[in-house]
Amino acid sequence: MPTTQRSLGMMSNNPNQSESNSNDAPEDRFVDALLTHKFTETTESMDARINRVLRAVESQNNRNYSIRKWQWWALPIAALLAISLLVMPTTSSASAVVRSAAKVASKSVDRQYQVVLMPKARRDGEQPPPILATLDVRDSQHMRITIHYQRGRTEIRGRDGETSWEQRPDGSAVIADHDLPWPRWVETPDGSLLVDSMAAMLEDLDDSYDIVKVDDAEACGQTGLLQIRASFPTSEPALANTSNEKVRRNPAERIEMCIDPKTNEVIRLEMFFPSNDGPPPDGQRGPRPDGPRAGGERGPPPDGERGPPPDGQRGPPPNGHRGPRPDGPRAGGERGPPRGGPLGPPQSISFERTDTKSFPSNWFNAPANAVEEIPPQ
Amino acid sequence: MTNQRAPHQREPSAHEVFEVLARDHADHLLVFLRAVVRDRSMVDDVFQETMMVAWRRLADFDRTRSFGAWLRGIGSRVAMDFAGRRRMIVADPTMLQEIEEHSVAFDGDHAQAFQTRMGTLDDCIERLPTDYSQMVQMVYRAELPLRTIAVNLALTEEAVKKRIQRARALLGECLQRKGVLA
Repeated sequence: MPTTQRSLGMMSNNPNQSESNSNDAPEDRFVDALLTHKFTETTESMDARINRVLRAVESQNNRNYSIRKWQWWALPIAALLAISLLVMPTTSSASAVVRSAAKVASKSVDRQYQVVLMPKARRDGEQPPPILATLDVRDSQHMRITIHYQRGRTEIRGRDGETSWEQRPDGSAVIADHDLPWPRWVETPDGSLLVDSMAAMLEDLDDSYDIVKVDDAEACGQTGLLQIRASFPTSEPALANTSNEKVRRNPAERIEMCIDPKTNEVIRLEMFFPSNDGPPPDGQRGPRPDGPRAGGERGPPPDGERGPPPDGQRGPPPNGHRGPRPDGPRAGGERGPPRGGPLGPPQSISFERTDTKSFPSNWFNAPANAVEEIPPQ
Repeated sequence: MTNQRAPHQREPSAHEVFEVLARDHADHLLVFLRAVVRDRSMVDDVFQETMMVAWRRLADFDRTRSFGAWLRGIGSRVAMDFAGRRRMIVADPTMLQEIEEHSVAFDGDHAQAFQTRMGTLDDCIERLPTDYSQMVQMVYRAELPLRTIAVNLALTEEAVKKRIQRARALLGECLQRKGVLA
């Protein structure tokens, strides 16, 4: 018979903890649970619990085949749920807030974010300085990011709806292939910036993340904003059900958002990445035979996909010029894996909304001196 | 005798199978989660999420094994995950293992068996000395605050805590004698 006595209880002074004050012997806990169940649960209350589960199952099944359609017509409902979140926080309503925030973020409205990337510590333990950038967004086709390097150097990359362009630290500018997709991960000498529209990032937060309202988000502080946390769950089903493509797009294990409850605008978003380095074998993810990984560890994007470069393996080219790619141009303008293979993403990236509310009409256009980029032969 | 189904019979859907299993094991799962988590507000969330995970993973369930044990395994992980997010500690692996041992002993693996075992608990409560059965009624049935009980019985709160703990210990011994607790 187990008789272990340990002090492993919940936090003290918890008003929700049973007043019966069971001690920390497993047997005492179990008898306490039996007594609580006997005197508090009725046939009706258990039926209600099961019915809640079955409704959720039904809802999940329906959502699986009609999610796109649902997102269109249910937006007013999502907005209502967002309001109800203020008085009755639940997981599902927190998800609704995120969906609503994604909708707001997808609107064609000028906005600016300050971006701070904290690189991972180098292998020698040295912590590289943060990378600072300014991200200007009108919509998913009009974006411009200014990356601030040390010693006052800047690099600007933009997309004007038709072309992508880049202004290098030496002032020269090139226009990339017209169909070059906006690089989600922008490589810099010290790391990689995750750059995308807020809407695209929020849309990645679907069922594979646990989305809850919290009161203690590190990212928000005491701001009075709605605080939402999206965590990649450590459970086997979540790992098994998440597509590799989704993990490649957004490998963050925790995302904290501060949302204006009146407008559903994301005021601040911070993404935290797992600390492990190695990508999973052949990039595949699936249920682990030994159960969930501690702390929800996840590997970086698999080889061959666009992803962060190896930390500390790329230095700035002389005079800021980029040389021809060692492996030649990519079809469709895709970037290949960084030399040496991918390492993990940074520690964190934060996006914070600034007061800037509009940009000049030509703000996203390529600079006048930009020339067509000639692929290396 | 044949195993062939009559033409009008159909295989139950996964949803129907899940509903039967969920109803059969809900009580026992809830007791287990209460023992592990104890925080009342968290138990409801953990229960719901455990059932949802079980539904999503139903195809992975090995039918040669106990559904109740499988469900509790999911429940343990969900509880740990919830507790981690709230920066709480619920139980270490040894504690979980010992609670699971009690659950296995109590597990009849279907709803009727659970009710039978709860009947055993009733018997044990009836056999308690009056002071202790009175304490069980006040704490668990009436859900009176310990302070109120202490005032009514002219005891200190500490004495009330000790008495209810003793009552639970006696119940545990009784349930063990009857073979429904490890």
